[in-house]
Amino acid sequence: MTLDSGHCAAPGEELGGFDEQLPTLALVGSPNSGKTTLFNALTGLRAKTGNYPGVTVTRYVGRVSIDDHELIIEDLPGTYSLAAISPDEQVVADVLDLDHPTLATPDALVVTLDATTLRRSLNMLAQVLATGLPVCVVLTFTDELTRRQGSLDVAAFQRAVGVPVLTVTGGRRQELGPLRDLLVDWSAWPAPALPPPAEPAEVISWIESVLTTSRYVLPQIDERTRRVDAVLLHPVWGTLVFFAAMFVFFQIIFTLASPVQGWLQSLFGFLSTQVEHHVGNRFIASFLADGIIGGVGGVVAFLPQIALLFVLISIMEASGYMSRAAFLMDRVMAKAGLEGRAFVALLSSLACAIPGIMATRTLPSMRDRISTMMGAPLMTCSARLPVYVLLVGLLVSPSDRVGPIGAQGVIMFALYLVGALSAMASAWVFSRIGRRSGPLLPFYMEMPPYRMPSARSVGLAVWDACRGFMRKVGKIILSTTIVLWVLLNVPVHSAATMEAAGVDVHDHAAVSAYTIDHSAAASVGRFVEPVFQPLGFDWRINVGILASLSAREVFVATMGQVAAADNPDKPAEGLKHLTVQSGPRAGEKLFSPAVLAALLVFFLYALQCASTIGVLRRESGSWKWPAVAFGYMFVVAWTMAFLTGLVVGALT
Amino acid sequence: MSILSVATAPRRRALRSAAQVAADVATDGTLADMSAGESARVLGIAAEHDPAGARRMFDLGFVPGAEVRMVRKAPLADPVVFRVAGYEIALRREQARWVTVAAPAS
Amino acid sequence: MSESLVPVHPEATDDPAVLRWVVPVGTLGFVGEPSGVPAPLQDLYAAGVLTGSVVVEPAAVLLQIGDGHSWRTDGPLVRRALQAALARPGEWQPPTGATDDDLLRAAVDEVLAGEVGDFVRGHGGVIDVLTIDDGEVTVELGGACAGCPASGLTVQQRFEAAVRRHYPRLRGVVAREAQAPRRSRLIQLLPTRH
Repeated sequence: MTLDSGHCAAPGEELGGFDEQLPTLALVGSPNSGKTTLFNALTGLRAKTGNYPGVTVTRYVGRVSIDDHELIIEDLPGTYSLAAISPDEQVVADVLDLDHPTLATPDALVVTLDATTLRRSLNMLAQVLATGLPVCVVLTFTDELTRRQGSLDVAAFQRAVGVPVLTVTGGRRQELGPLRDLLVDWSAWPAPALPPPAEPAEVISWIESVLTTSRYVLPQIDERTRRVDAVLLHPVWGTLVFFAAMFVFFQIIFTLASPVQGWLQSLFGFLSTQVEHHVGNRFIASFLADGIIGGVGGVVAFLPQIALLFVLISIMEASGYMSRAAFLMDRVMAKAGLEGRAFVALLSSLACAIPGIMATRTLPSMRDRISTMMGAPLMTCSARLPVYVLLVGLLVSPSDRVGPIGAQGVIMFALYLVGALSAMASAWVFSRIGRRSGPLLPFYMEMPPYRMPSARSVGLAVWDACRGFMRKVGKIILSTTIVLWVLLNVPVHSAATMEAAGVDVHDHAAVSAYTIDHSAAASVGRFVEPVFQPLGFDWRINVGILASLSAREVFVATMGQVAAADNPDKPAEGLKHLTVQSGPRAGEKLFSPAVLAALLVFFLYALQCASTIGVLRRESGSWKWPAVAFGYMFVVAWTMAFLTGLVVGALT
Repeated sequence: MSILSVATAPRRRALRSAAQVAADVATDGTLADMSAGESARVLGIAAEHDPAGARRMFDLGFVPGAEVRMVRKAPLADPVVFRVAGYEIALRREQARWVTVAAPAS
Repeated sequence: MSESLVPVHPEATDDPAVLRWVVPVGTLGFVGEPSGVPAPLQDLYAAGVLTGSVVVEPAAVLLQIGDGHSWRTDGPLVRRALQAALARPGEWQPPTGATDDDLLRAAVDEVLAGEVGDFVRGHGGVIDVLTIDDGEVTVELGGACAGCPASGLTVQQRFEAAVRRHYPRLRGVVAREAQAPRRSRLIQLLPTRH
């Protein structure tokens, strides 16, 4: 585990503002034990997120006021054991390690134990008690235990483990009174005279003794879960329901988010126009309108999709359906070196890679996370659609047919299919590479009983995701937009210069064409011509590619400007008439079938998206992986585009 | 092959010699050999090549003496859901092979 | 399953030097201070790790840590020795003159001091133990329990169940009600109407 370059902030610094002098209590427990619900109930919106130093594990710290006392509560990642096998779990082991050089150890620990899985959970408690820190136990799901004909003598259990034990059900704020009183009193918590044993056979005997004394009756299999799973995990019905659910999931992200996105885009468009009308200097007006407002608008435009995705994912996780979905898809995903949970991340990437890459947080293995992140951008996202539509429209006419099916549809389907297969192949390659860097994580996945998700937890998860996105990724997107705006609009040309060149200054389209043709971006475009020459791209297409580095759909508008199209958003007619200016193909149509095919394939593979790079930076923790992704995708894109151009050129 | 073939076929048992019966019980199966609905008792975890993985199986509840039940398998036969220590967990066959089990004591 | 250790766990007592090591019911068939213990425990006494006397309860063994030692440092040693000793119940020698009824009496005392006793006292009732003879307990229900039709059976059932958990060989509980002399009835018969 390497530390970030020179960055070793103290916890308070990272999170900005929490007083390190206040007592800190940490929540420890296995996943699905109701720990995070408890954390949310205690701290609510008074929680901040950051990162543990040196790793990409999110840190949740909150504040709680009890009477006149303020406490800091930290929600440690869920873990099954202090013998860690993943970065998340290692964080818990490190935080609980009194001798750890950088991480401060909390003053006391609150261990959440799921009363319905007490036998397994006690193993974790034994390890935690061995640390010697003050511990109290919160038993969760005791109502479910009773409902399933289980029982536990809590008083006897408390005597047996030697630390305070409380039961909490539902995690509603009103019920937390006794817990809050207990937390304030952390320095007075009793501790066992002798911690439980660590050796496997001994700890088994300890657990057995504790359970017998507490008269623990194992709950029956949850009937509701059993009945639902009989359908949802049925080889035939389950798979059908799964695909239907995924279809609905996908549609919701696509269609529900669109109107909100459209509304947001109109809002920013309106602001843009207002600025253009009211700011005198044309240059500054354009900078504010297209650069700043356009950039911010571009960031905010992702929020509806991210919010929706996280609502759906939180519900899936909290209810327990996520593990069923992963269970059904695991075999297929295993062929790509991934696991079942990666399916949801890849599926989400069909709408947009940004929420898809964020969804990789559900994967416990860092290696799987990276492999999925490296493959996700290859899924055909919605931003590619305008580009595909434009280029396919130039390539084949709507009336062309392949057999009985429209040629345009066939090509679009092929593009989607190749994208998905390439994503899987890429993930496979990266997981193979990753295999050499560490041992394989054994695959296991708890299948919890179906439980009602708490609206509060879902809401907080969404809020947390959106806020994190805005803060970290927003900066990257905004700065890229501004840089590109500058490249495309500078140097500024006075009206005199333009008229001297024969441009009608009142013709908006001609003016923007001239600006682009003589911009810094055009210089760059001409400069890189040798690179793209084998693909048949000239400097004008290069400008389009350069501009679309911020976002793919920008390619359409940029080409429209370049072609001096009357309507930059529908530039097809203008583009058809562009001809090659120099070289062996001089005089021919620029957008020949070979060039169009190459361009399509280029956009299929290239990482033309600053937002994706930003999210990769955030989720992987360094610039290394976005650089790797950009690099390998560029090479593959170039190569595949070249080959496609050759093949299509030979056929036409 | 069901590891309960000895316990659930008493008639057959009578026809086999005591040595054969002893040999059968001594042949341990693994979690991967269980069929849906079968129960068994964990004997141990055999994963010398991956001590961290073996430790994880222990922490998940697959301890010597624990009772395990095979609940169901996925449409393509992998992964498999087991019930142990009061909860359900899905394992890939690869991991399931690490855990040796025997028919529960009658 | 012969290799698995005897399940034990320690619980605190009023004296920080003494821990009550909870053991499975029926491990040792007696209560009181044994006249002899197996070698693993003897060795600890000889080394001064343990001091005082071993006290056996129906479901626990009380041990006291020696001067200069602490549970935190020497606890694991004591645990292992105790588990080894409990694996050989035949090597424990009961106190001289001990009978099974002594064990039953201790079980009854624990039940009265615990949950069931709290329940009865909480309702203003009283359970008096009259006789303990050959695995059968005779009690008298008094206080608010006397004359209350509902209380009689519930208290008896809970009392008997609790005693049976501590002493599985219980033959039965006979209950009488104070002040209102009725036919004593064994729990196994159908209740008479009031």
